[in-house]
Amino acid sequence: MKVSEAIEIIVGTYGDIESVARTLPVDAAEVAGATAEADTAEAVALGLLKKYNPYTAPKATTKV
Amino acid sequence: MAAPNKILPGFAASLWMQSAATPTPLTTANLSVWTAQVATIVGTAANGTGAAGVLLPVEAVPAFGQDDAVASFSVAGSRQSDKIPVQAAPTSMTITAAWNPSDTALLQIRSDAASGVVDRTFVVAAVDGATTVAYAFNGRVGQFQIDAAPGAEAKCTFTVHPRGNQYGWSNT
Repeated sequence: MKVSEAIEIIVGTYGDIESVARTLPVDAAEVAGATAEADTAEAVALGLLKKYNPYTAPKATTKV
Repeated sequence: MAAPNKILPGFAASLWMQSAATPTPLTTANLSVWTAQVATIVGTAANGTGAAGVLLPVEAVPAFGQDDAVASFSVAGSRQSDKIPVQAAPTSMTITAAWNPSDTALLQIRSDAASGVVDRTFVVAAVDGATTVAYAFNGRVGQFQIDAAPGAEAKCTFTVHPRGNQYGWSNT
């Protein structure tokens, strides 16, 4: 699922946005790179997605 | 849910609600957004715009926020049970106001109570100067009584029952 689609679902729901955000299948890397304007519903939704989809950049591997 | 990120040393609280007869309540995410969302319900006296809201003339704003509850689990043979804190529904607010039969907001509350199925966004605005911290929630009015005792001014009492999970904090 695209991050924009997930944000749209969270912004439009009258349910528990925490549990909705927790269950949406999104790419953590895409979430990490997404931005939203402050003090908007999109920013609230993106914050929850980042909370439940933490991204850790892969370590660079070196050949021995 | 984001907690308020402002600290008010002292504040005055006021209660606001959407003014339309059949309003579309804010979605859960928008309950945490001040600009163009919660601000439209809060009047200019509390640093909002008031474009879609009206003040409820209550005597005092009661306690508001979230109740805590505990879910208990027991396993057969286990020495101790397990208690998991959970968030219960937001606190119901029983509110007393001086009864004014021509007050638009109180008449709307009375109409909502008669219906019982009108969802409306309410906002408790805590104001200190130019700073406002707002607690917004969607709720239904579940009780409306008028006490017309002759020894005092007539009062009305009503209870707002917040919908589960539908609340948010925001600030200017």
